[in-house]
Amino acid sequence: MEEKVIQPSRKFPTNTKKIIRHHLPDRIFHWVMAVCILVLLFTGFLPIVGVKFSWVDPHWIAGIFLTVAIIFHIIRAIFWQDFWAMVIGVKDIKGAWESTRWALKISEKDAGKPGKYPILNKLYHHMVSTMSIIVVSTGLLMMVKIDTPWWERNPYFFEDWTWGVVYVLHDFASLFFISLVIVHIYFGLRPEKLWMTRAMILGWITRREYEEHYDKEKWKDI
Amino acid sequence: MREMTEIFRIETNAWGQEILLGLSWSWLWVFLAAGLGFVILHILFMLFIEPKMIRKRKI
Repeated sequence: MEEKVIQPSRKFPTNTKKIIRHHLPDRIFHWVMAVCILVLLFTGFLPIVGVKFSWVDPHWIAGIFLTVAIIFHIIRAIFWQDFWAMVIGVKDIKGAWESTRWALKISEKDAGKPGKYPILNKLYHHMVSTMSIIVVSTGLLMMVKIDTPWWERNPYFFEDWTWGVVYVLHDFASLFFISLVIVHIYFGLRPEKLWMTRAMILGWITRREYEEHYDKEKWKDI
Repeated sequence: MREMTEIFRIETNAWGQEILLGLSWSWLWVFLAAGLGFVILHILFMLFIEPKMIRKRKI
């Protein structure tokens, strides 16, 4: 039996067996974003492949939820979380290079384990962030062209050429999300990654998982 | 123009001007295939290459 979860502190709790990896607000954000993205992808692309239904309202409503969720996440990341923990630095790139060479048996020099967010986590996060910013900003602009409870549609807000650029950016980011979501769900379901999926549902990892995958010096803030 | 319409959706408006409507929907299958292709390649990598070529850290 595992011991009770000890809430995070700056001091390393040596007697815990469960360690918080994702706090409740972050898990709620993740799953709200996941539902929004799936609703947006299905309502956006199913009509294109021939499944006809009234998609516009659920699409823009999910887009609004996604926008609010992202704003919440940005504020939380800046003021409550370690914002710099997600930034890719020279150390990350050097560590990834050394780890790859070590894993491929090219070199004996091991860079060691990463901190809370390994470089592949960071890269995926940044791809999702970039595509989210593009898709949300262009989606909000496109809402000018539909009737909502707050305004009537105005298709002449931009010139045709400008709307064309907005559509191309929205389409590109949306299409990119198809690949990103497939890869994300795949890794979330892989047997050796299920502990990370559990952490995104229940919040915690075991002390053994922590010691197995992370460097205590690089991820101290638990 | 044929090449352009394969990449973008382009329409002619009431004044005969060509207007950009977005990316061609044929890209949908490209991005779908890219995601699924990555998954298949990773499964094959984990089955056949990873056990032989990749060194693992001892815990």
